[in-house]
Amino acid sequence: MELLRHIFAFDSNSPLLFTQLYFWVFLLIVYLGYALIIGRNREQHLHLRNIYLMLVSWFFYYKTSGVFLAILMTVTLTSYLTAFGLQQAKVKGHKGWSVFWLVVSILIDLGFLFYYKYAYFGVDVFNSIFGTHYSIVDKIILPVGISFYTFQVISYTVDVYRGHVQPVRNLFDFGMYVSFFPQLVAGPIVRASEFVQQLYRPFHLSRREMGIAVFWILNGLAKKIILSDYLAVNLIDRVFENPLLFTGFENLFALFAYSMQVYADFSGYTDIAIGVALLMGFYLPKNFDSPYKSRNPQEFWRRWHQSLSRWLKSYVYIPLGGNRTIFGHKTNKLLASNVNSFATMLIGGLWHGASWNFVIWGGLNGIGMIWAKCWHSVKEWLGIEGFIQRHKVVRGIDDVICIALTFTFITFTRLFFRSSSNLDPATANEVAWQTAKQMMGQIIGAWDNSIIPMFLWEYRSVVILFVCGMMIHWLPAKFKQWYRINFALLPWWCMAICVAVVVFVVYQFVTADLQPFIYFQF
Amino acid sequence: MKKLRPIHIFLFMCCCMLLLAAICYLMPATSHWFGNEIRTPQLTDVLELDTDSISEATSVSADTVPNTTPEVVYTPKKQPIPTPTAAVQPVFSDTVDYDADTREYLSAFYESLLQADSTTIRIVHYGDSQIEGDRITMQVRRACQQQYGGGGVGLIPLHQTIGMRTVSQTTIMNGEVQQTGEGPQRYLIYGPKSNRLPNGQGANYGPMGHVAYLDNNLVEGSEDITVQIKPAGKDKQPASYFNRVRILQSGDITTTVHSSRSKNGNVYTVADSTSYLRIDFRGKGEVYGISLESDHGIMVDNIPMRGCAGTIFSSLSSKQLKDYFTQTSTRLIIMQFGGNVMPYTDNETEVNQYVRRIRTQVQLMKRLAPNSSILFVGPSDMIERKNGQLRTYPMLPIMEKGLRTMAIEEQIGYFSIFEAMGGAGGMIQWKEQGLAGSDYVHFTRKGADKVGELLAQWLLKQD
Repeated sequence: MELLRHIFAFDSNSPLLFTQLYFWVFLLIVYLGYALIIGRNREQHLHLRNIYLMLVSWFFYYKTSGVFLAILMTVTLTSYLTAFGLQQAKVKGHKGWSVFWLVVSILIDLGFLFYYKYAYFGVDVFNSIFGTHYSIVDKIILPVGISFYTFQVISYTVDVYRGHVQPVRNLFDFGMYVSFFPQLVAGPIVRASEFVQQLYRPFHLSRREMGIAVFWILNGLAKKIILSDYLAVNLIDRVFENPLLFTGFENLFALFAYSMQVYADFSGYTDIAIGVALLMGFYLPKNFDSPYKSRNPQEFWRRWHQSLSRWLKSYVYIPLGGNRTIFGHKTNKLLASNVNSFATMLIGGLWHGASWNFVIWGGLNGIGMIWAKCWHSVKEWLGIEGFIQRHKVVRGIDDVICIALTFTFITFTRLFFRSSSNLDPATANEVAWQTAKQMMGQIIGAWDNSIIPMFLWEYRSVVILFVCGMMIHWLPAKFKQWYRINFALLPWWCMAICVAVVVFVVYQFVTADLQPFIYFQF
Repeated sequence: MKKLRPIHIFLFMCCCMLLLAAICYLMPATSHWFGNEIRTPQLTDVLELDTDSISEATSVSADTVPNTTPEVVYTPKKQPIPTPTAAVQPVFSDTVDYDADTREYLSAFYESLLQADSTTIRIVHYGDSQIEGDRITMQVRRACQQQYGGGGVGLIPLHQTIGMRTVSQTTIMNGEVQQTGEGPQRYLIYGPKSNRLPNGQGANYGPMGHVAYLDNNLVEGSEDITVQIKPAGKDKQPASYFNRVRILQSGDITTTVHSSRSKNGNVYTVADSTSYLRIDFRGKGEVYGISLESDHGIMVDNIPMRGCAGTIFSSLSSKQLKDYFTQTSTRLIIMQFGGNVMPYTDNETEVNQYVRRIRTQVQLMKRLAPNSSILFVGPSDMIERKNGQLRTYPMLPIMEKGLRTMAIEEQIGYFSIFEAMGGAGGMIQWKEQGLAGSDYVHFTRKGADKVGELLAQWLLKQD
């Protein structure tokens, strides 16, 4: 009985994560059912397959978020129905009604998001502006993945409104699109135009695609557990929690390592999502393209969380006016582009978390993007850009400098990215401010050179991992593609051995002893 | 390109699982390759890991910790943090009454409290990094000053390298604001050996174990140092206000305490409820600290010694310590140490050696401050990860027992953070509740506040 409860009941302490054995056993069982349903891959089995995937995805979400599954179901149903209402209005030429259905759909979607994610922040802002002391009595818990699937259904409704996609006719097919479990809780944010046609396509997976899928899964696991979790537990978390315990060098190293951790954590998770989806015959869009190779913040945001960047561009930046208008007024292209980019980055910041520090983080990125654009214009105007492009060596040096500066800039903006709470914005802000202030104070004023050799030796495992992680990150894309394809072409038994080896290595990091503090040894 | 069917993928996944199962079955739990320990999950472990992460383990619950087994593995299930009364029972021996309330050994301190409205009472809180930045001490000071009066934050160094939550200090040297890593040359009795005074310069580190040298870096002329003090943050408390300033210094230094009204020896009187202060130092010599005090009630010094095991007091100048305890009417000395030796203590012999060294320090303190009570605060729960399992350091409960025994035999007070946290595994629960950091060693600000409150409640409990 206890075993059944463990397997099927929701336990907030044990969400279903890709890094757990439970998930892989779950996937194995799900895949058996999947294989039996598809059988010889007849087209009449497609709806049954979609229903099956929707149900297992709901189970997955239930294990992760419990009764919040009801929100996912509600959002699915309302988006499905309003898209039909919208389409009917469009067909009949009732533009007002189509706008009405669009607004209703978005209000419902955003209503849930605002209530669960931004209620505390909203009340805090209201109190600050009006000097009131309202508070939220009930404890609001943020449902896992709500930011992702809300944006996904909004994109669907808007795309139907814009005529980019036709409404999905079958509710279960639509349910499968919204809740497909590999990408449900942490993206990528899949737009309807990228996914819906796959719902009606029979299973197809080549031998090479299967190899690529296995590669992404192993790559993601290694990133998540070795580069993210190990670095976090053994250095980053402890520095961010008590910056004053560490010297300036240690703080600076931890800050750069945090940049690596955020990337490895997020991209590792989406790599696994992409791999698992591909094993089921579905293509999810790439979400990260070696973002720390970027030469400026603008490029960084084209390479980082690409599905969100594309979403923000299509559904925020362009509706705001893109590079044409500001609040509906035609104006200078550069001005419009910069103002709307900045506003989009503020909204993007708020999407990541409901407190001012995330808004500041978004704002800093917006400023960085504007600065990069302006600097590029200045360089062109002065003729420096042309000179750089004409000389290969100079171009190489310029690339290195730009990449290093962008990486450093993005790393320092992350001082505001780390926050302990989504529920209490005041606390989140205070923690973020204090941490940022203390870390900067240490980096500027507490630089103790004598500790550096000791740090590098005692934390050698952390340092080596960080350096190796960055070196791999900066490998040329073609080389990465080369080894990815060669892995995919390995014989199946060889690939199975690789799986075992990677899991074995990853296990060593999961079970590694905690790194002791240097000063314990004084 | 060959097309695959889902059943092929399923079979491949099964092969991978079987291969991993075979490795788990065939390989021992631990083996050594090229000097590195290699760990292999065992099939029995894997099957037990039903819902928990592979990085965590299941075993004995924290509230069923056996009395005599030091190695206790924590179960990662959420439980409420037990109060001290519900804590794990200590290990008993034949000769020591572990149930004894060691507060009876603090009678000198409690008796002095009766005169708190007319005299000053000093509590000196020495500790390791757990009390840095006024953590834990702040709660004790707040509780004492609210109940018995008194003001001021107590002893602070000339140049603050670790920000405090109570007062904020700015050091201006030769016209330039100094960052935390800058400031005058300082020597510490703790930390790396490079921090020590040069050979032949004695052991005059002062009561903080921390001395700042003026004129150390200049070829000629003298250093001009200004210290500005103001309350830190918005949270005003009695410690933010003071009316007396004590300067601990030696050598040829001219000190100017701005807006002081009178001076008696090294003690300056300033206006009541002063919270902003400026002090100028000019000349050549040593500064051991600045004490912000009131003319009655309780003052509590926060003296953190990062990385220190608490065995350094015998290396300090006995005269300086004794003078300080006498001049400041010290009635309670809190010594909070033990955590820093834990990762390097592997057996009972090493525990006993450490406890013996601590006993020597306690006996020294008793000689130097005969009118004071002494309270030893034992280490908190600390967690290590072995073979993927989080567990309390095996020697920690034994050290806890040893320190408690020592305290009772020496007739000094003993407060157990380890017990207050719920015993072995308590740190993991505290971490889950945001009270401890991810290193499973240090407390978060919230956690340090809680420990401070528990200590203050225990210390000031009325029977």
